[in-house]
Amino acid sequence: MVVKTVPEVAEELAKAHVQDDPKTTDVYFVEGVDNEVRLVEVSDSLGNGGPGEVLPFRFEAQPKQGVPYPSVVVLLSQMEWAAVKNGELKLPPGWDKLKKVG
Amino acid sequence: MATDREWATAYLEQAQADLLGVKAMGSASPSAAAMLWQMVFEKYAKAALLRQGSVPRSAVTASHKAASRMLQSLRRQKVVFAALGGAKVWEDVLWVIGALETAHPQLAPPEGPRLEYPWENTHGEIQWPARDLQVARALGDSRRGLAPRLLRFAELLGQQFDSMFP
Repeated sequence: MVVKTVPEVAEELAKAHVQDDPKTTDVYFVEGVDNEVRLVEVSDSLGNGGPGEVLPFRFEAQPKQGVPYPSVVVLLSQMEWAAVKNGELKLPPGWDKLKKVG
Repeated sequence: MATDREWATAYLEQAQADLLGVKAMGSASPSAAAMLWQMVFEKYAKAALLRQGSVPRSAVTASHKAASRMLQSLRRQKVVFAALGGAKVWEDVLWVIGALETAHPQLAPPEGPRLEYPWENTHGEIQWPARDLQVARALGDSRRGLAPRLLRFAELLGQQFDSMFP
């Protein structure tokens, strides 16, 4: 049995999420974590602004559906993503090594 | 005797406490999370109706369709629509709330689906929420962003509640 890696599953989930929300403009995953997929997704479908804090949502692993790792998703509007980039809004601890997916 | 505003505050506080439960649970038990989601939005809606004071408290507390009515009303207000999310977010939220209300024990048809209890479908098969409630499966599906979008919407609604329903 071939076991998928975290980056491979991140890629798959990112594609699925873009399909689910086509206004997603950018997806990043957190590198260096080997037991959990962590995704930051920036979407135009969220309007402007936001709650002023990041809201990670955790999904359990779903091996039968081809998702062998738990995943955590943070959704951000464009304005929030800009705030993350300039340091005004903080991602959770350990979410600093972001790599763009796709 | 407590005022409607005091009751509204209590509903609002409990909605936010229920939302904390959703956050903590994540997708660990999607059918249990679905029950919590229903409670979150029903309580927000009841708090809103009580703040507005246009419906008797007895009618507000007895209603299990308050959430969809409140959200349909909010969606028509352009400023609120934009503040809580775009079209995709609203589409998701209205679908989830509609599905949750339809499955509420007081409203669900005997052949289901049901939010809390097993049911017997029209083919005589027994079904239950953890396996067969479509909206719960959708909320727990890591290939969809439905639950994170709903969480964001609920958080924004809570933060802006006082300005929307002063």
